[in-house]
Amino acid sequence: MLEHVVRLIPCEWASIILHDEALTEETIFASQHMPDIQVSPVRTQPVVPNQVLERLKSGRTAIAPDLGLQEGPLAHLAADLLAQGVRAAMANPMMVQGRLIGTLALAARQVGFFTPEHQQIAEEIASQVAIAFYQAELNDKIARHTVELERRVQERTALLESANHDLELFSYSVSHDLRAPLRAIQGFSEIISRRHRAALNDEGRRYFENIIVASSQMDQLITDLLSYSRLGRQRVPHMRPVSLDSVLSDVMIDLTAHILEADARIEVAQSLPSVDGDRTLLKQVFTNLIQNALTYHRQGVPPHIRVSSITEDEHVAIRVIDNGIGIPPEFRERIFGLFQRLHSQEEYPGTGIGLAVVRKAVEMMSGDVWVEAAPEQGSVFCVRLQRVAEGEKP
Amino acid sequence: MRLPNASAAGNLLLVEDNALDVELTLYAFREARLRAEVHVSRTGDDAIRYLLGQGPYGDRGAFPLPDLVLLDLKLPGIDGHEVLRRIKTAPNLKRLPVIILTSSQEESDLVKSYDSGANSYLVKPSSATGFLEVVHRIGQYWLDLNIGPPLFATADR
Repeated sequence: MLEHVVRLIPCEWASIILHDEALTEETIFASQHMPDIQVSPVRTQPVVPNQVLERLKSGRTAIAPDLGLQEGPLAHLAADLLAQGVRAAMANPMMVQGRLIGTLALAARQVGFFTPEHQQIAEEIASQVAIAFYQAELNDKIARHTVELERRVQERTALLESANHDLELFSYSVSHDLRAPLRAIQGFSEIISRRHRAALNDEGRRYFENIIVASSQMDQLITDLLSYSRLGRQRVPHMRPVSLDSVLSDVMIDLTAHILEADARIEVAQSLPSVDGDRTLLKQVFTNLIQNALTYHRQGVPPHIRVSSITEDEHVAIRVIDNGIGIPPEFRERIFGLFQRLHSQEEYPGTGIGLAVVRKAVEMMSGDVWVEAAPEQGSVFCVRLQRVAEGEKP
Repeated sequence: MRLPNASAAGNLLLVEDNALDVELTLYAFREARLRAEVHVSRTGDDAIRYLLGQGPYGDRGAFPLPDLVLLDLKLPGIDGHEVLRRIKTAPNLKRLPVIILTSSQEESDLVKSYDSGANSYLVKPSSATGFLEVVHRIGQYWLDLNIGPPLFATADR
């Protein structure tokens, strides 16, 4: 590139010098010169001295028509160049967005060598070179950022993996370690309250009943917590076309005892559509939703639950409608959080995990779940999932 | 729960490190009236030595080979998976029915156990009644109904 410069401006020395942001360090990027002119490799003085930099910083070119006439602080540098036979010098700023990034420095043996035309050419070249450097620098930055980004992604992934592994170990440990003492508490309390009933007075018997009830609650809590954490650890869901008819009929069979116990009436719409989902997850979702509807019924009003679906373009919204106690609007989002409960154990038993499992499972299948108020009394839980196109039925 | 008198008889090895679980299981054995001789090993290492008739267990008269092994998975040192693997790879023990009795419902434990040749996988119930029922059914099925393998078969020779 500098070869072109010296062809257009036939001077003896041309150099591109790059400056750092603080303008305290300079790097000779490229140099083109006659064999008898050398910038000594060990320099005590910068090629572009501060006084010149001051002028270049404002985007103006600095020209010394005759270095022999230099006085003041520049005289020293001038003497250095003069010794090599250089008489005239020109420094053109390389500007990027108002910032000086480098200098195109030219020197000639002839006094007054640089004409206004030379200056114009040199300034043009300097600004072109600046743009080229700027672009190169940008590319470099992008490349560096890309590398950095990749590194961070890897780092985060590793962290997540290790957190995931910790969680796995944790829930494994919970299932074993927490269960063992609980089993002993529950088991021996039962043995005492049954085998040694006669040795206890009413108070003692009641307290043992309390222990048994509390420990079976804790057992349920551990079971639910484990099923929640197992969901999170499950690899990718096993997505395929699943018939909701068959899912719901399985769920009904599993819940038979609960349904009879609650004296509930359940109506499941005929020929529900097929969705793109994971069968195990779908079963879990509807088991939990129906179980909820069975639990949260109004005092003295047997549960009446309806399951129906609405098809919308590529989606299906399945609705589980109950006639239960309903959910105030301000809690309709919160209830899907882990351990979020609106009632005491005495009012309605539960662990606060069921709906969190529902949400997690639905989200794993790229669906949505939300709750609305039923027209008269109760709640409507809506699960929206991807519909299976015709001809792709299970 | 009312249980009919079980008539099962046999030798059983219970491999369980948790003292309270041992007690609950033995209680259930008594309640279920299982006429089984139960030897308890509290570590995997002890279970292996018992089954191989090593060390203090050299006398098969006093320490007979069991008809059935009830094996917990989480054991200190040699764990249940390893005990199972050693049983199922030992020529003289490989046909011995092994029932996993654990509190784990982890898929990985299930897969690993069946892959290693477990004959049954039971989850420890959390209530005493549950224990009683499980033990009663074990006795009914594995000691009464099921025909165990000959440990030394003519076909092997």
